[in-house]
Amino acid sequence: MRILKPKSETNSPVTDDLHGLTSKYPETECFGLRDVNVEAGIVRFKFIKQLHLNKMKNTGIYIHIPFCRSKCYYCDFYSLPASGYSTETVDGYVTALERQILLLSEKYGKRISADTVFFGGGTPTLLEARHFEKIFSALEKAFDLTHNAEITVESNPCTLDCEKLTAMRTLGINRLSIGVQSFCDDELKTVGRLHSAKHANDAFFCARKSGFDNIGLDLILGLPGQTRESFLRTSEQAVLLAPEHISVYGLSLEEGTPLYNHRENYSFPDEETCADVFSDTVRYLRKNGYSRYEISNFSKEGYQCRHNLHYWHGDEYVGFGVAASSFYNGVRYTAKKDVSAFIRCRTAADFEALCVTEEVLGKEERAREYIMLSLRLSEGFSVNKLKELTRNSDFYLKRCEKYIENGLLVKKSGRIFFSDHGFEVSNSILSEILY
Amino acid sequence: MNDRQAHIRNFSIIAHVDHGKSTLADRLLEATKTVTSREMEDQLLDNMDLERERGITIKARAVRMLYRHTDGKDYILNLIDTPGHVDFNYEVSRSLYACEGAVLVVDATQGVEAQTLANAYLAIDAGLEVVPVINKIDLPSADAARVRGEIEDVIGIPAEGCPEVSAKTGLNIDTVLSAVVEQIPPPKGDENAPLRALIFDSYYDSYLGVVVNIRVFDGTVRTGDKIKMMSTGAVFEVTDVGALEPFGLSSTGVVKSGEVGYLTASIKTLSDTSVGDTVTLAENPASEALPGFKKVSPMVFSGIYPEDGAKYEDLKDALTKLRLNDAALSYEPETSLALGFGFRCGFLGLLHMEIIQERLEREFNLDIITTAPSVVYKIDRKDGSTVFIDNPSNYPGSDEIEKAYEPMVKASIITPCEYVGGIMDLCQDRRGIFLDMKYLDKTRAELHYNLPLSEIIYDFFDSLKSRSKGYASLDYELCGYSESKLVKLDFLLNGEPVDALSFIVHEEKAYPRARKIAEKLKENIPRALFEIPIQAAIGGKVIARETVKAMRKDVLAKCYGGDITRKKKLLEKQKEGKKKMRRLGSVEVTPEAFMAVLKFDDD
Repeated sequence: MRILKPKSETNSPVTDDLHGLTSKYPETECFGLRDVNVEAGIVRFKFIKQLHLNKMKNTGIYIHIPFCRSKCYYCDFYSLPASGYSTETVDGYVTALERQILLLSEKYGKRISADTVFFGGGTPTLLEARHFEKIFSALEKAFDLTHNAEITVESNPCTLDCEKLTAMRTLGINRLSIGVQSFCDDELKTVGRLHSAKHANDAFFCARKSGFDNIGLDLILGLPGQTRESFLRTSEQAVLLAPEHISVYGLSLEEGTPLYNHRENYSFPDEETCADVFSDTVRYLRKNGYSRYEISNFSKEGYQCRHNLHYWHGDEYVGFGVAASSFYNGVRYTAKKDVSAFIRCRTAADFEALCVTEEVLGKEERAREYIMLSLRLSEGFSVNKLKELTRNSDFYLKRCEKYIENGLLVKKSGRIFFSDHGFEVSNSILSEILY
Repeated sequence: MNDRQAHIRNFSIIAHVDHGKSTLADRLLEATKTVTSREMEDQLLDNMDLERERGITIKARAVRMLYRHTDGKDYILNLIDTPGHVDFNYEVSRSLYACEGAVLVVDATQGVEAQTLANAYLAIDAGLEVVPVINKIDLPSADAARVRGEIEDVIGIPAEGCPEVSAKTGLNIDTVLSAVVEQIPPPKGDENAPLRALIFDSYYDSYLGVVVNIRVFDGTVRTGDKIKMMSTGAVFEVTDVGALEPFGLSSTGVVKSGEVGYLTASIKTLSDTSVGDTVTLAENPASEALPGFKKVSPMVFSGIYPEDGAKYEDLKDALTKLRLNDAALSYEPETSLALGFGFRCGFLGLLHMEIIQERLEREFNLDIITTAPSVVYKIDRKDGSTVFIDNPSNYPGSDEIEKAYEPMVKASIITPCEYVGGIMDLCQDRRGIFLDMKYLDKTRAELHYNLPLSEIIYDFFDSLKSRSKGYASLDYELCGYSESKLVKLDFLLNGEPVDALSFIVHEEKAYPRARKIAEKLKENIPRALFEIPIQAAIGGKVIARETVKAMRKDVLAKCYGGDITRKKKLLEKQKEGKKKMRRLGSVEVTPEAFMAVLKFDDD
């Protein structure tokens, strides 16, 4: 078994060529006064040819694993249930991922520096150790991974055992995110989770035993049947386990999911209860040493999820696999949700054909996105940085004023950020400020 | 009288609502082969979608039929179908002016009802020959003998040997036609005298301009004639005249005395024709106009506003066109802080108001907002002047009011005896003053009350129907003003009064209504970023209060790499939605909520 050895940052070869490329933007970008509004499809982002990653900043790598044992009733991420794929499909998919990554290395060698890798899904822990090994070996060839790179794998408790966790840890995976969702078995059952609270506890202890010293737990608020008391039990149990990171997501009913289709048959806690429970949770987690660094994310000091911070900092990221999103050179694109088409891809052009341009960001849109994403973080956005990004900064700042006056936004040491109450209505305020 | 006129009969069909007028009209059209059975459909003359859906007649409709009588001679029968609902009495009286007789349809199972009486008296007062017809004799519960007795005793017209028919099955329909020919007198008038034609209806056609339905009393009108409207003096050249057929107009080039027909004259200015006016010839005009119609005065007022402020002109145009064949509709421009530019419209009753609303929406494709209905209040001011108020925003402050009066109606309710108790309670609850009660027969009673009109225009009719299992019938007429303790109830959102929500109400009713509406506002106003206080106030005094709590949603939506573009689209959409928001004072609400709070009909 080969072990992934990330290179140290100082070793990264920086060529003049890349510097030159990164100092200017491709032709599709227009940083004039006006916002460019290039229709998706007209500007076809060239997946390999035009990859000019910003050398000044490290990149995040996202790898999508679209397989699950069964679909949870609320989930609208792209993944296939066990009935929809075979061992060959998984093997073929990993081979295709390897190919996609290696095609990048053929072009650039190891000139792209990355400091985070995130396996999301689906259920990435359905992969076997040999699969991870193949992917890491390809990543090593294509990227200059920094020595302290954060390598996260999302997991479902019932796919974890000590043996697999030890193997994963040995391969260089250093962060584990466990989809606990709830510590109440009834609630888990209602939404089609295959695991119980006990599975989650066991998985957590196995992970610690296997050497994971950076573990995140994901919880969902708003599940059918959930009450103030039951969520308190869940958060107490989470705190008891003392993970480094806790995410609390509000359940969103997405169209097309079984939970959405049968929503009349479920009794969901009401908006007011959820809001109350969430405020309680924020206080409770804070008291126990978890600070809220993003709307729905909490961590112990020094354990923020660096990969996700890339998204909120507006950094570039490269996604591999189906349904994965990438963002570079001001263009965001997403790969089509088609596993068999992905497996059939042979050439760079094949992979490129699977990518759909989602958005080409003009200058103003970048500024807007900066505000939107930064405001998700407790640190908010920097007024000076906004002024660098756009001449129209006053337009946005003026709109912030009334919210600062009534305490929904806070302005402090050159930054503007949400107060706790402001977070509760962040969408309404964001839509007012931005559009 | 010439031979031509001797073979014409002009008649209306009048009845209480649901006694089968329109069905009888259908059968008459069939029996005279005016329409073939292939063309036949139910309620043929009710060609408004609205009429068919509701199974009621709203507009009077005229049609010409040819009939060969048992004497072997051919007759022209001009039939005018009329509405039965109390709100549309004026349509009935207009139709009657154009006729010499009326067929009074009475349901053999129900007998004489409030509108049977009212319509029969309208016809008798207009000097018409009334031909009673007992309908629905095929039904098991039919009691023709009893009903015949009622017609004679209650209405006071002979009913011996009157036609007994089933319009539904077609039984004895020919006896109705015979009775029309034999009992109704032929039209008088001289076809060589100066032209006098009464406009009894009109409507706007985008190709022909205004189409005027006329009854010629004297003289003759031909295509090419120069005609003059006697009230306005406007002169037009007739482009076409003819007869009214079930499926449209049938050009004949000439309409003579005693006949009913239409004329067009490229009339584009809607104000140049008014229903009730007399048409004469520009050369050799008649010296005196026909009596015309009693002007109907609206009793119920409400504001109508376009949902989209830019549609104000469209709304104005639509109202102008509706008014053309609905003389009872009145309107004048008004503005509201909450609703922008619109019209204060006057109606004959709630059903009339509802019908106009629906016609504006269907026939003119407009989305409109209607404010709570109000009646016309009379105020004696302290300075000695008297004002009439149909709009709550114009209601003077209490310190300026010496005395306030509200319009009263004299209501006549006919009901089976077992419901009398419940109906008396209802009238009591609506501040009614009992006048008298008499038994029509062993099973039915007629009640008379004085009631404030404002109490009737809400849901009185519905309550009456539900308390009598649908059997009670209502007729009412205005009977002046009486002094009343009135207050103006205002609603404040976020401390600011919303003019469109104000209304005038009797002191005793103010508190419960204030509470009800405050609750309704609370239900419908979406949560905002801040708490919104809702207050109901009389003068400066708050009498009810509710609070819309501040919104606290979208707490925890996640947003990772693949979500960003979608998230931005959602935010942008949210803002788009906000642009459609309407303002109630300082509070922004969705158009749906806005409509909901302005509609008080389900109180």
